[in-house]
Amino acid sequence: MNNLGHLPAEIVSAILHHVVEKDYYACSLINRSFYKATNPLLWQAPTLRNGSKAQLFMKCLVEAQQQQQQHHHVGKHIRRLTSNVPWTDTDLLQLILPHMSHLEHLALETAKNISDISMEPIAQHCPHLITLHLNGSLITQQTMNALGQHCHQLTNLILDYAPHLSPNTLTPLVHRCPLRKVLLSAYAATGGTWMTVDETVKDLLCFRGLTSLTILGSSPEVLKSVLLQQQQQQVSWPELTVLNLDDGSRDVGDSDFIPFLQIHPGLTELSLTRCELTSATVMAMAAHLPNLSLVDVSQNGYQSLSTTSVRHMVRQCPLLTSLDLSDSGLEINDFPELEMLWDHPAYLYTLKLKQDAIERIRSAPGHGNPVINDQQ
Amino acid sequence: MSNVRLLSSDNEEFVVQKEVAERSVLIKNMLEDVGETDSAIPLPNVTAKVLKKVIEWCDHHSSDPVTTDETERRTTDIDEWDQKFMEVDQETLFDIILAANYLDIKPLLDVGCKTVANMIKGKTAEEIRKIFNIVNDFTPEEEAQIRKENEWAEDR
Repeated sequence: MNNLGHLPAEIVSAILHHVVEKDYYACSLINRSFYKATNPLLWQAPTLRNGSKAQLFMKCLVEAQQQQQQHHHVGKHIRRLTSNVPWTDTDLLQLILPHMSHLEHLALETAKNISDISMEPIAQHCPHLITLHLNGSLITQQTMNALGQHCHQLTNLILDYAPHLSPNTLTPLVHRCPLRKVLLSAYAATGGTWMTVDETVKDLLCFRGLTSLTILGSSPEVLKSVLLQQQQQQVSWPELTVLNLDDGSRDVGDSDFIPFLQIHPGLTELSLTRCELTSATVMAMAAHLPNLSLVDVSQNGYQSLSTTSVRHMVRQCPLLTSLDLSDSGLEINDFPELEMLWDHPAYLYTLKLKQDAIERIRSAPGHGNPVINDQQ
Repeated sequence: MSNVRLLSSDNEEFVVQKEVAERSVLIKNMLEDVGETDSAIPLPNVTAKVLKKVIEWCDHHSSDPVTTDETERRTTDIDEWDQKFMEVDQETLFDIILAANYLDIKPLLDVGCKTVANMIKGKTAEEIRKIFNIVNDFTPEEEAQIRKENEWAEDR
């Protein structure tokens, strides 16, 4: 008779495919065949949300390694490590080097103590790395050189606030790593303006497969050149779907954005914050970006967006489900069709419209055709 | 609309519409290889009782679009008709899963596996063993060792 305990291995793994992470522990203890099928999944993607969980994880990993025969060492199952524990270089080295040579995705949400001391050997030890995500690290060019030398599958590079990087940060990765998603941030106020037009932007243009680019708090010259370079030659990133630029200086405006939007019709997420754009850019989004699902034009310098341009965009972009207009010169009261939200506390200081509000704007009758040239 | 004859392991013959039978990738490929044929397709791994259930499912889903979307396949939501369809004793449930695997009917295999995954949800290993009548083949030492090694994942 067929019974869950006697199913062929392929069926057991088909069932486990639908089992949620929370149930892996119980499944690993059912019987030997379930243990064999579950354990790789159980160890595949640990998320360590606090120090005690991280300590326990480390203890278990060491315990497992001491007990098990060499052909079945749990470390080889670990593909994705996510943590917000503020590890030191020593902690991280102890955790990763002896155990995780098959690691593909490393995301450290609190990397403030992490420097080249750990990242350089980790790059060397984890050649299968696809994602490196560090929030606030101390790494320098040394780590970047090691990544370029060893990690030739590196696809997602998220370096949020790494003030010690240099203009040549991406140079070692050019023609070696198939980067698709890049986030670089360097806030001038914290002394981190390391991005340059001649080095950083020039390198960025070499990654033809880029689908997602985020540059936060760089100089306006860098942002302008990112947008301009594309217009002069052929389109450098034909597959780009996500663009997030945060200006800060409020110096990048319509004349920089509009030509760029015209030649990137595939954009689905567009965040242009603290810039100096007007309704003309919003009208360009409506005209050229039919696939937009998320737009953020908050903290706008001119404070002059018109409801007409916003309504026009909402109608022209049927997939739009998130629209942030906070601090852009508009308030919730400017939209009569959103009257039911006027007193909602969520809109007191922000104007972040979600799907239901957007849907209301889209379906509200009688707000006429847009005036193309309003408030230039 | 042409018909196809299917022969169960216990020699019962079923006549079904070609498009219904072709929900099974195995049968579809067989029909493509053989071309027009009058003889029944033998399915030596499926009994009449199970084949009847499988045909019922294929008939209900004969006009479903083919989904290859991995995230859609992974959700544990099962539509109402399928939930009712899967309200069977465990032996039949596992027979259907095995038949769906053999006949290569991915969406039916998914529904069966999701049903089992939902029965497992939130249970301890002992409870799961009890529900499915599974023998614990670990030695006490082995079980203790696994508990120790996997402790970090206990309250995930």
